Amino acid sequence: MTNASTQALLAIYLGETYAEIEVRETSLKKSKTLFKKNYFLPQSSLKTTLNQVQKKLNELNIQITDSYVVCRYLERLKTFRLGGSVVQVVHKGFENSYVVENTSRVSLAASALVISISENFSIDFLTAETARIKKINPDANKVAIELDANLISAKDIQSIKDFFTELGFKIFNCDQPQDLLKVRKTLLNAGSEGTKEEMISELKENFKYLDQEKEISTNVYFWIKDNFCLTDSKTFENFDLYFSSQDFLAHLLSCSGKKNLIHFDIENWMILSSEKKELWDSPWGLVDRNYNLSASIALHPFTEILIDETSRLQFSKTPASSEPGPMIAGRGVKSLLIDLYWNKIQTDPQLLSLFPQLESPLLQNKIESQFKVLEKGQRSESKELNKNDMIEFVNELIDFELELKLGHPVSDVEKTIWSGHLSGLAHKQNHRFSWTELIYQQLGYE
Amino acid sequence: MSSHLDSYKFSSMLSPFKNASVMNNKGELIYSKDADSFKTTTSRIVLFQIAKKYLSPKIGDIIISNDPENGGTQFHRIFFICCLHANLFVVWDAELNEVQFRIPLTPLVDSNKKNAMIWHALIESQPAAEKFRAFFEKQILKMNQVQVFKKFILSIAAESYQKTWFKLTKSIFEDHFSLKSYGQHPLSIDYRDHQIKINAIADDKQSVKSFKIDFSGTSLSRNFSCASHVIESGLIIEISKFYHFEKCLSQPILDHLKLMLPPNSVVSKSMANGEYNFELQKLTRQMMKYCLNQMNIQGKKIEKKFTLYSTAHLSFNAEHVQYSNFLSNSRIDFLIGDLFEKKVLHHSDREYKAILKYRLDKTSQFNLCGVKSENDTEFRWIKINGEVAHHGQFVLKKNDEISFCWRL
Repeated sequence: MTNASTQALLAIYLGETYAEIEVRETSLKKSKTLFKKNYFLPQSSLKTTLNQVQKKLNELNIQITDSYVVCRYLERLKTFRLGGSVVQVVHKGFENSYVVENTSRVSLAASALVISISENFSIDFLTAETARIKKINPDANKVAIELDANLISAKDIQSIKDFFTELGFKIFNCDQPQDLLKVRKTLLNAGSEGTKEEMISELKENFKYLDQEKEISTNVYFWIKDNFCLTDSKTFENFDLYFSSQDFLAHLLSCSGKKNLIHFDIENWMILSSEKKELWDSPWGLVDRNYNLSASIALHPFTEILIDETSRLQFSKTPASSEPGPMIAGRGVKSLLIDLYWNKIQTDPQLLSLFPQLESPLLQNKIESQFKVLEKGQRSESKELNKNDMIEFVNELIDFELELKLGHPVSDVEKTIWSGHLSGLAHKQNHRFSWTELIYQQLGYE
Repeated sequence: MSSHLDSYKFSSMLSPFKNASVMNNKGELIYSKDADSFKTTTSRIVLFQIAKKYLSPKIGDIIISNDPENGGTQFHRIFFICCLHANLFVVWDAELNEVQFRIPLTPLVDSNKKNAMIWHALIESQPAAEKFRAFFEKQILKMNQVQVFKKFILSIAAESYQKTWFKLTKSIFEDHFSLKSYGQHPLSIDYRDHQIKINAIADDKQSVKSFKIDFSGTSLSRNFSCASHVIESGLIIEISKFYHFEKCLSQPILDHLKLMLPPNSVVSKSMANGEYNFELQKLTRQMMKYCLNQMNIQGKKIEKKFTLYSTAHLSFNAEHVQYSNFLSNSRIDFLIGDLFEKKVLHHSDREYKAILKYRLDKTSQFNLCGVKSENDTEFRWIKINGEVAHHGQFVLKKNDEISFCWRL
């Protein structure tokens, strides 16, 4: 790197399945875009994606001083059991207490990695228990201390913390273990630490700049609640990152003064309301977190269109996984809802940069033949649905649900704002959308 | 033109409700949804017929009732019948634990306007008027949400639509039914000094497919019974889940299901407060599921013994909250909230244990019901102040203790 480099800001939407990245010059608030690209993450990991961007920026002699992130990246954790490397230190009789309220939820910590503390515990006991745990999982490196200062002395709690700090564990403290909302929050912070660190370290690793001839890593800011927070500032907790993109959209909604935001993007379709909710009914159980109410549309862009065991056309109950993803991404073999709209997607340069394979006539033919198979293979007592009929039906269904949830016709645009790359599908108008442009707007760029 | 995919539209339309049905003027079921752990498919049909006979609901009317001896189930479960069109009705139910009295068929809303007299007598005069008001207003709001679908309502109210829809759902039923084995499987159990006998028969005679459930031989009721529609509601759901036609459960399918329930028996005699409804519905669903699986076991030689498992439903009714908690053989949903101080709350392997001390100064009422099996008493129990309990209505005072051990 040389001193003649251009210093720039990086804006990134880090989604569950795709990333949108844009770079603009730091000094000029009216500056033009220096770099912009979309990446479909299942085909290019975060590490590879950022590495590719870094190489390109190096070629252009651009240095990133600050990175502003709006993320939905942690959404991918929602189907997983978390905390495989998280040890819990609890009072005897409170082992995995948070599970009892709802056993069908996903677990937040490995149930075997629990150390039960009685009043007369000793450091020797902790040493023996840690050795037992290390045998189960040698990589255990985080500890959630769920101890009540009314039941055990503050001095003892401190000695437990010191013990684990000395062993190199990262400490997550919950001083009200009776409160299961707080226990879950602590465990969620611990279980999400790895993914947060992955995002930060990849950004810091790839984007460095020179300050008085000293190489410094980019500052990383995440959108939390209603502003960007520096990662080192401790102004947010890890579990806040689950809401980063939703909080960002809620902020746009709040600025608009409207009641609802309809979000139609590549990875989710939902209505975000200006109404707030106190408790988050997370996949791991209830967690104390203020957020804007949202309602997902029953159909998901990755919902599969399939033929059931009686040869009738159906929609899958759950969306297909993002790997290999939709056919438009090049490797998918299942017909997903988003594939229905390939003609429209192909005409949008932003979406085409996300799904570049869509330019290939071979892929276009493959998608068309897949829908032909569905058309010819279905049994119907009325009319067999071709691709256009399916589009019409899906649009009708979307309108139907939007109307129910909004309480007014979808065409009543005065009451709502729209967002997302696919908002044109439901909005019936060409609606330009870019996460990164919105990020720059929030940073005061024109 | 109707298509089987219209089930997605019906599903959206009923999304504000847990248990709900769309019916026509004849009382024929067009679409049904049962997402609550207590099923009410047939109960809703029965109540609609009674409401139609005595109050003939008109467009914009909402009629309510909860009478366990007249189509209802328990006092706290209120049924709502709303007329959307002369040939289209929505019937649904919702719970309010505070309601511990009988509500006969009552016109709550007349032509989209609250009936002032009823509203005052039923809601505003209650000690918990605020809760009552919030509950009933929420239900009316749900109905207003559904009325957004004017175009769809108009189209599905048409007889021609319903005729095609019924033809479609019948065809779907026949296809799914043909994918499973025909035959029969009987099961008889002794429970609470009564015998419950069930014989499930899946048949295809002269191209007429039918599913019969025969309870002949079941003991007569001796203060332990429930109404037939309670049993039927549970069994219909079990069957439709098994054959995968939940999404198109409608009148033509109901016409293929035949239930034989001896009069005045455990499974057919309603009780004034519906005390055993939950227990008997859960019990017969377990029996039905077993019979369906046995009928479809490959080779028929692997005879698996029926093992009844315990379930428990606890509904807490405190001043500021109401919780419905449920323990079964596959899951525990037990919201503790701020009602209890946690003395023990523990999970290891498959066992879950809790000792909870009631911490509020004001007393709270709670109801406990569910299936009590003799097979799992050691590892599935609930105690109140150290005494095993499995059924009844209790009052919790400060420092009272509820404990449970439950293995999944």
